[in-house]
Amino acid sequence: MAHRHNFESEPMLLTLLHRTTFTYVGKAHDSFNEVRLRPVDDANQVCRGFELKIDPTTTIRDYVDFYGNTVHYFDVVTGHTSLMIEAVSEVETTPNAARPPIPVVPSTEEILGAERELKSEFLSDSHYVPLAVEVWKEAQDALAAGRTDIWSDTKAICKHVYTTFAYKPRSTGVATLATDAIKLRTGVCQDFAHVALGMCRCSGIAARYVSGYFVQANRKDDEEEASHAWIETFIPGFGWAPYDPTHDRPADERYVKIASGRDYADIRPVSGTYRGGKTRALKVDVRIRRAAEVASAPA
Amino acid sequence: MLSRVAHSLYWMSRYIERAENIARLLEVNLQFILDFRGYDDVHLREHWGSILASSGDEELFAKHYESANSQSVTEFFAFDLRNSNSILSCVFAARENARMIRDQISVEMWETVNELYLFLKSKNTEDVWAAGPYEFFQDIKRNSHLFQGLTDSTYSRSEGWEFIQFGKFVERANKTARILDVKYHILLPSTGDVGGALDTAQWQAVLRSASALEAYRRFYVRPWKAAEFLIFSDSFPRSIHFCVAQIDDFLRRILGETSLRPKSEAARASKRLLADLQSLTIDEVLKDGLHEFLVEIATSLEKISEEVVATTMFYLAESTQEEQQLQQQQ
Repeated sequence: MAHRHNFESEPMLLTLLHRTTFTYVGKAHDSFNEVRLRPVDDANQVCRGFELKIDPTTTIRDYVDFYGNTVHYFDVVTGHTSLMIEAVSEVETTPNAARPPIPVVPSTEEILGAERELKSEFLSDSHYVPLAVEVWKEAQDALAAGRTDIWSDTKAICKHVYTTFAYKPRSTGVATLATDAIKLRTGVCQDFAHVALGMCRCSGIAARYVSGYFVQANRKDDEEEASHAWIETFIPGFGWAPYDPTHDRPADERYVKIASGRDYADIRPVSGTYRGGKTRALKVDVRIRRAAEVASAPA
Repeated sequence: MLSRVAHSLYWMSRYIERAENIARLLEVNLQFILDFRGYDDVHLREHWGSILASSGDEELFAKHYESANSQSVTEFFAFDLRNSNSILSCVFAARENARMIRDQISVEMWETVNELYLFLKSKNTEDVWAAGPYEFFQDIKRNSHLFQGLTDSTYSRSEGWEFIQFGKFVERANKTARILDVKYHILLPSTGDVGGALDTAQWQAVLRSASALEAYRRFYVRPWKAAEFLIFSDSFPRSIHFCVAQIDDFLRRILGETSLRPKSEAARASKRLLADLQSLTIDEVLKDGLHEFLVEIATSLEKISEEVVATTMFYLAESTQEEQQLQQQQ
């Protein structure tokens, strides 16, 4: 997947739209939902604007979860046949050139061991990422050439996933575990990220799941867009460094981060419960544009 | 507070109060019969029949027992688990409710309910009759009082307290009404008996059934005013008026009714009931019929408590909870 992209030194301004529509068979009621859709503010990006709309209209409240993600929650108690959740945000990302280089930190037992207690949640089993023997074996294969430094190990692991797994939409589902994806050797970004997380963790590297979007410069008009996922590994003395195993490259200025956690379960963009009829359909519209593009050609 | 917890607190409290009232009713009537050794079988049947009628369990009793006598009625009201209003059933239900919310109540409250349950389970009708029923019923009442006293001195004055008190007073008002109704049911003396030894003893039994004899005697010597006292007294804590005043207070707190004109049907009904109890006289009540009046109170209390349960404690899960479908990241 080659993307034509000119790396610039100016910040990149992106507008994002993430619209989720549930339609129900009959009426749903007593619906309680949480969404993690607000882009984070950190060294790599600044959220310039965020608006969340719910239809039927209701009061929206928010809190910050254990991983530092902003969670908006709301309820719709009265009967409704559909529920629409629309998040529109504007984000400015730091150009690649302005980002600090990732330091070379040897992946020795002394250095990795020192982080073990502080980052234990990103080193142990999680729901989607069981640290099973097959995950460990994948990591052994990826790092067969020997360990060097944490960032190079991360890249080696992600490269292994990128080269030995086939990207195939609809071959897996939202509930697919890393171990299932290893059996199938196919998947989408969610599975790529889960597998890479498991391999990092088996190698003693603290790694977390990142949910977000990325701009596809050479996107075809009818191409479906969706939210994206990648990983971050912890580099002692530096912090979290992002890498995208689906495209085998570091997440750069084209990436917008909305949440992080141990795995998909911690960052579910939209989750909730309700009473009433079954869900007839779930429709997700995601649109990521450079602000300049939007201005010239309104969608 | 979780509605489930409120529900358990309410029923725990109601069932304990109910068990106590049944124990007292049985005890008093067993003693009463001892006082009237002249009672023949017909009288005995009538007497127990009236008690069964007052609790509304006549049919259920007839289904499982051949005749109503002291033994069979004691068995039915104390130990029979087929009777959901037997003392054992009530204590069992109170304990189940307490067990579900053990983390919400004091350990002393839990232990009292649990001990009462274990005590009841270790007894049966034969034991009770062999050892003397007086002691047995005394133990049940003492445990109920202990429980209510412990609740008073160990439970925080929070929302939960309101549910406990609401439950207790609804049950108590109901039982006082029923106890009075017993007197109406077959204990109604023939004209010649009015004011006689039997009539006097019966009224005393009614007063004792409501633990009201001493309180009553502070005001009156002769028993004819017993009905008036049990309905209208504003200081005796088991009179219907006193209970309804408490019900009205706790119900307004539970439902958050602050305005003069309540919004909920339950608060309006309790306000109406309280107004009746504050304004009617015993002559007016007797003119329209004591029994009808008591039935009306019981019905009204039932409606009030049902609405409070429906709006604050119990969620009718007519459908199961569904997970919102998740979207895969691609």
